[in-house]
This record gives sequence, structure tokens and C-alpha cells, in this order.
Amino acid sequence: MTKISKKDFKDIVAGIGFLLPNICGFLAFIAGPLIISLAMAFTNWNLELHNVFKTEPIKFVGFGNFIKLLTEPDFFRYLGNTLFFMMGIPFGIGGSLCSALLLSKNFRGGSRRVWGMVIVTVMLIVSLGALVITGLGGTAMTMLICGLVGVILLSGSIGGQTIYRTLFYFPYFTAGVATFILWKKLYSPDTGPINNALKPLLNFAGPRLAAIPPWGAHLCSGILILLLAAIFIYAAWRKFLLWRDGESGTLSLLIGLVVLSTPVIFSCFWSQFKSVSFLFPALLIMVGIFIVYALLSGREHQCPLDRGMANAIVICGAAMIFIFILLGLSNVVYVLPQLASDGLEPPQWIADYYWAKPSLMLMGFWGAIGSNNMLLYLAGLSGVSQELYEAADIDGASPFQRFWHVTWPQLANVTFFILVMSVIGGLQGGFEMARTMTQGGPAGATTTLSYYIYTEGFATGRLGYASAVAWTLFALIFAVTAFNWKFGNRYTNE
Amino acid sequence: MGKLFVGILLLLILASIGTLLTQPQRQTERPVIYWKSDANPQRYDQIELFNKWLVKNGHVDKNGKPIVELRLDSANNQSKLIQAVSGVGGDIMDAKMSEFQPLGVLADISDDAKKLGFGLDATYPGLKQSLFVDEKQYAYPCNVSVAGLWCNVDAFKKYEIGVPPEIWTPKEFERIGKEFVKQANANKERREAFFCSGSQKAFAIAICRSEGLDMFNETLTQCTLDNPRYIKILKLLYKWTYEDHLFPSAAELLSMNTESGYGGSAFSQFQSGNYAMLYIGRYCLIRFREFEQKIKLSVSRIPQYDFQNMIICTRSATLYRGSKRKDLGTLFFAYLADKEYNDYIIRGSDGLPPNPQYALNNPEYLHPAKYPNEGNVHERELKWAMTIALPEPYSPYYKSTGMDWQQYAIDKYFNNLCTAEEAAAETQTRINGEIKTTIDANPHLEKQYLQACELQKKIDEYKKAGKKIPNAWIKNPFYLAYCRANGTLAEINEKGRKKQ
Repeated sequence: MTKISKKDFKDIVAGIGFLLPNICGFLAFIAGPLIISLAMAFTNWNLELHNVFKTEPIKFVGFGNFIKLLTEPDFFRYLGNTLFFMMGIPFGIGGSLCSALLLSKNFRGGSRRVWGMVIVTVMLIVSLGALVITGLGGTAMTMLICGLVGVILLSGSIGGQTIYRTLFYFPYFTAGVATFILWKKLYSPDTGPINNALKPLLNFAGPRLAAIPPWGAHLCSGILILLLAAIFIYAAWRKFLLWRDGESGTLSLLIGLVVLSTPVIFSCFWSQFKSVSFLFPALLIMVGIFIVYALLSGREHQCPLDRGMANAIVICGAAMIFIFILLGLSNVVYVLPQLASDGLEPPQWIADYYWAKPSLMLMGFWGAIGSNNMLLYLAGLSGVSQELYEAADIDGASPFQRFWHVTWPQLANVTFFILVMSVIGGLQGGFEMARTMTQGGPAGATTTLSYYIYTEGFATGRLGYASAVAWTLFALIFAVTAFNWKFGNRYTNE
Repeated sequence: MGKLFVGILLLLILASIGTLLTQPQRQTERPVIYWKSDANPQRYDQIELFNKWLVKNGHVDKNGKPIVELRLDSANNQSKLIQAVSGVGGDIMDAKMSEFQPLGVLADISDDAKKLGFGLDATYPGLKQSLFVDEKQYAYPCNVSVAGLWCNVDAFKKYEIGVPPEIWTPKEFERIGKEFVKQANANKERREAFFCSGSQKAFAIAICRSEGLDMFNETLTQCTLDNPRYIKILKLLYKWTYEDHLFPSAAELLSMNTESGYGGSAFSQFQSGNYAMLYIGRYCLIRFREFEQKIKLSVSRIPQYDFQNMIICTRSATLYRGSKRKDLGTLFFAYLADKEYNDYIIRGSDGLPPNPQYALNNPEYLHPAKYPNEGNVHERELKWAMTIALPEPYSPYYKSTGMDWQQYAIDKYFNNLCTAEEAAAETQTRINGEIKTTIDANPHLEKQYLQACELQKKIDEYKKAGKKIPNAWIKNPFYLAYCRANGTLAEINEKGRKKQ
């Protein structure tokens, strides 16, 4: 056993002494409340009965609060809202990757291309001024947005990379509430710049869309449905091949197919495209056939049941989101001429039940593009060895191939970390937006679990129940994160 | 390392001592009490006036200075509540009594009220439910409001439409409103002018009550909004908003909102004539008097059917149960009921004064010489407060601080997610569900609730049999007033004899 010298002992004491304020702070303000809230979740703690002036004994209710919340339809509805918002995570990650890739480019220098873009932007801004003078405010707003995008894209060439990067990082260091109020104004249905920009476009497109014959709309909708089916079949087939080759376990195959089938199951109840509604059960039958075929034919290489789980969740999850989008689009396209017959109106954004969630997601996407994720990707990109790119160039790789075979695999660890953090943030998030912009409405459309915890705990004073919701949320986050670490880590290392 | 550690430790100790010495209580010899209120600049004037009042009424120390120092501590409702239940609430708190009293954090001020003259007789009768629980007083108003429909008379004149009368029916409201929006929006690219802006919930309740229906039953034990009368009113509000465009829709409100202080853009929209009417209380004059152009004003009741009623609200002061100087805190309530404070409210137009005796027959209140454009507004609001005003729907078994289920169902209906019938049914189911949750959690309340339910059964039997209902059975102030008005109330005094 190593003997600690007197000097070492003194150093340890001094070290602990320095750390003590922090440790005390942690115990008093983090660990203590955490333990108390865990205990509270199993009690009937209610501010109306239990506070410094009420001596009512606190009762232990076992899992009563948890049972109550699991039998409460509102809990699942708010969980659904939270998960819906999380569908924006892949887009946010994609956006931050794109901005990082853009920012890692060297914009310095006076190439003709850059000067050409400067001239185009200046022209845009001048034409905006001309339109405002001639009284075309709505069109001018559209042009303004285009002009601004141009200026931002060119800032790198004008102000250097520091300004350029700072501009992208702007959403992150701007105070949250201020940006929410700003977005609230942007979303203003009659006077907001977004709708002012959309109105001339919709006015232009409206009569033209209305003129499309119904068969044309049905055809477009059908094409989207076929595209949907193609993505579904391709993803399912790839999953099957992976399973057959022993790169994916049976459990992950089943989970992947379930994830993929979710929008198809929804569509059986949700599609306007009645004439091909047989397609959806057909796709489901195909999944069944896959499974039966797989079980009967067996496979060449065996592997553990849960192998390829991350692939099942991430790839099939991303495909699921695209399928959902295509499904929504096909429904809209199907009735578009009919919708456009009275003229197309821009959305009412956060004032509308159906648009409120996508509005907040869009805002979240804007925030995600210029977030810490972007910085992480920038750091990750700077760590990618140039030799790999040189080797790819020698092999004659196209820019996309360079990205897909070099950059993307090299960023796998960063992406994994961002995904884990985004999922945690997504499950915990939504409170500030709901509180500032919508108060959880309209009709509960934007109430997330964190906002629900707040209303139950601080508005109605049911602290026991609110703690139970909070710990259920924690369990959910923990399970998802554990899953990510177990399967995602393996996937990134592979 | 050791020296550095000791140095930092000493610095921390010194900083702690410094903090202790600079604590507000140490800067004055007089006891300090805190008033938790909003950060309105008028509060500082009111504190200054309180100091003068203390001196004038002899509440001074041996040096002739006020015996207490009142300090403003601005806080929102949430932080007031959390501080109060944690034992660190302000001595005096501007709080909704119905939210704070069930927590047991408010002191009973009944005895002091009798002694110092700030009981129910020193305020409006309609406020009883907002100040008292089981005949014990827990609050006294800082100001009072009976919101009405304020008319921009100039806007009506501009379109040659007659100014609405004080009392009108929904049918008249609709007719005049349609005429106004038609004329005011003529030749405009988009709808900019609306007939009325304000809480649709308040409209729903006032119109419902005019037809003899309230949110809660006589004993406040159940929500009763799943009723054809309420459904009819929901449909009417939908029509007024989305078909006749008398009210701005949620999207239109969002377009007009500027996030600028209380009331948002409603004041400027009203001032410019884009809103012909505004549902608000007398406190709106604080803003209107700031505008350079003084528009001519009038005020009407919410349009209703038979039983005339209005909703009375108050920002009330309460005394914290954990206050160490309750004796000094109660002086503040006496001040609120006295002339100096009431005159200040009258002059500053921050709603109705808490004590109506200073407004009745007071020309400075009824017809302020500086503001002849304000017409009948003062007189009418005071008259409503003294006669037909009733508190907002309230049940001790329903926590109104959580999700607003009535608004939730209205939102669903207005977003075409359900029918009016379903919205009414959902409101009732949700509120009754909340009542059940509250009762299940609180055994004391459960006993009281079950007794009240028994009483409700009796009331229902009496109603069926066409018998008069004893006044002591009815806990809902609306039904007391309603039954009294239509002769179905048996006025029985405490000794069980019929009142003369």
C-alpha cells in the first residue's frame, strides 16, 4: 500500500478545500433536489396540503403517480407532441453539417465567381428598392429575403471568415426569448414578412394550380405515392440484405421494418388517395412476406439478434420521416387544384392548430443550423486528414463521393455525439417556445412534456405528480441514450 | 497554495460580512415590510402616499417618522406563490385570494378589518367571494374593475352609425357590428377594422348568465356548461368571429399584436378606430389619457338576454401568514380603504377605487373636468359595480391555475377540430375531471364536497318541485342573485326565519 506523505496529504486537503464550495453547491442545488424530487414522485406532495403552513403528513403513494400518468391520455398526447418536434432533429443535424461544410470553405480571394455573386446581390437589393418605390411591397419582401440570403452567402468574401462564421452562430448567442418574440412577429399571418413574401408567390401560383385538371393532380399525387413506395421497398430490401448477410440481427430487422411501416400504417387511415389506397395494405403485406420469407429461407451468416440496431433506428427512422413527408405532400397535391380554386392563402402559423407544430419546428431548424452542433462539425472537419481527400482525388472521386466516402465516415463520431445530445435536448425541450409564443396552444398543439411538468408543478401545485412526470421523462431519456450508446457507438466504430 | 487558499477564504468571509451589512433591513432603524406587487411606477407614488398617511394618522415613532417602512418588491404570480409556500413571501402580496387562500398562506384579517374599517361594507358587495372564505376576510382590493365595452364614439360618428346603448341584446350587437365592419373595411385590401376586441370567454360567461346558466352549479360542485344555452353562445361567438368578423380571430390578433406592454396594440387600434369597441375596465384610461388626441368615449354592457350582469374583478392585497409584522401590515389595508389612496386611484384612473364611498357623488370621479371626452364611462362602471356586478366563475374544488379547459375547448372549436356540442361537453368533462382530482387529493375538501353534493341534490329536488331555494344553500353568487331576481330564493336569516 502506498503511503501518503505529509506534503501530499496537505495538497489533497488544499485541493478538496478549493473544490469544497463547488461540491457544496452541487450537493445543495443539484444532488439534493434530485433526490428529493425522486422521493416526491412517490408521494402525494401537493402545495395545497404540504407547505410550511400546512402540517398534513405527506403520504407515500407508491407508484400511484406513475400509474396515473400512464392512464392519462394527455400525457401521451404531450409525449406525441414532443416526439413530433423531435422529427426535426435529422434536419437540424443536416442543416448544421451543411453550414459547417459551407463555413469550412475558404471564401477569401477575388475570383470571378465571387464577384459575380456580389453583383447579383447588389442587383437584388437595388431591385428591391425599385419595387418598394413602385409600391410592390409584397414582392419587395420576397426579393429582400433573396437579397439577404445572397448577402449572407457572400459575407465570407466581403467580411472574412470570422464575420461569416459569427453570422451563422448568431442564433445561438442571441437570447432565446428575444428570438422567440422575433419569430412570433415573422409568423404574423397578415403583417409578418414570411406571409408577405409568400402572398405574391401564392397569388401567382394559385390560378395556375387551380387550372391543373384533377387527373393531373391525381397523377402527381400518384407519383409521390410511388416514390414513397419505392423508398419503403428499397429501405426494407436493404435491411433484408443486411440481415441475410449477417450484418443485421433478427431483432434489428424486425424493429427496422416496424419503424418503416409506421407511416404506411398511418396512411391506411389518413390518405386522400383512395383509388390507390390498396397500395398501403399491399406494402404491409409485403413486409409480412419479407418476414415469412426470411424466416423460411434462413440466412448464410449468423449474428447476434441486436446487431445493426443503430442502422435500423437511424436509417429506417430517417426513411420513415421522408415517407411521412411524401405522404403529406401526396395528400396536399391530390386536393391542390380544389384548394387553389378560391385562391391560395398563406398559413396562419402559430395561430393554427395544424401549423403551430411545424412553425416551431421550422424555428428550431433555424436555431439548429447555427448552433453548437455547427461548431462541433467545424471542429470535426478540421480533424479530417487531408491525405484521405488527396487519395480520393487520385482515385477520381467526385465531390459527392469525397463527402460520402471520406467526410461523412470521418464525422461519424461527431454525428453520434450530436445525435445523442439532440435527442436528449429534444425530449427535454419545447418549454421556452411554448411559454413565450403559444402558451402550449392552440388547443394543446404545442404542449410538450416539459411544459406539462411546469403547469402541473408550478401552476396547479401537484409536485408529486409533476415529479413523477419528470422522472418518467428522465427514464425515457436514459433508455434512449443507453440505446444510442449501446448500438450507436458500435455503429460509429464500425 | 495554502496562502492562496486562506486568502480566498478571507475574501469570501469579508464579502459575506459586506453582504450582511448592506442588507436593506440594516439600512434603516424602522421595521421594514415588503409589498409584492407589479413594477408599475404608480406603486412608488402609492408608497409615498402611505408614508404621508401614516404620519397624518399618527402612526409615527418618537422622532415623528412613520413607524414602518414599506418597500416594493416586484414579483410575478408564480414567484409570489413559490415564495409564499416556502415561508419567504412578502408581508403584503397582491394576489388572487382564491389561488392563495387554499394554500393556507394568507392571514385572516377579519378582526383588523372591523377595527380599522376595511371590511365588506367599505367595498363593493359583488366582491365578497373574491375577499372572503367561510365568512373570514383574507383580502382587500387595491383597485376594482367591471370591464365593459368601451366605444370609440368618433369611429361610430365617422360611419354615421348610432353609438350603442348601455343595454343591448346580442341581436342588436350583431346588427350594429355588421354595419360597422362593412363600412369600416370598405375599399380596403384586407380586413383591418373590427367591431370589438376582448375576451370571448368573458362574453360567453356574461351572456350565459343572462340566460340563467353559470359555469358551476349552485353549490360549486360541478361544471354545468354542457348545456344547449352555452352551445348556442359558442356558436354565436364563432359566427361573430369567423363569419361576421366582428371579433378579430386568433390569427388576426397575432397580426396586430405588438408585444408592447399591457393590452398590446389594442389601445392604439381602438384609438385609431380599427376597433370600434374594447372590452376593458376603467384602468384603460391610464393609457388613453397619454394619447394626444382625446377620442370621445362611451361604455356599454356586454350584450345579453334577460338577466343583466357584468363581471367584477379586483387586484387585491393580502396579508402573508408568515409575516413577522402583521400588525404593521394591516395598517396598509386601512390606508387602502381611506380617502388618500382612493382619491389617488380616482385621479390616476387605475380602475375603480376600492372604497366606493369616495367615488359616489364625487364630481372629480364622475366628471373629471380635464377629460370631458370621457362622458358616461365613470358613472356607468361604478353603477354596475354597485348593482349588477358578479365575480368570475369560481369553485373551491377547481384549480383554475392549471390548464384553462374552457379556453382549450373554445380553441378546439374555433380551429374546427370539434363541434360546439363537443366543445361544451369536453369543457364540462375536463373541469369535472379536475374537480375529481382535487377532491381525491384533499381529504378535508372531500368531506365538504360530499356535503355540498348532498345539498345540490336537495336543490335539484326543490327546483323540480318549483319550490323556493333557501339562500344558505346556494354558494354560487350568480345563482343567489339570479334566484333573488326571479323570485325563486327563500330569504332565510341565521335564525331560520324568513327575512322581511
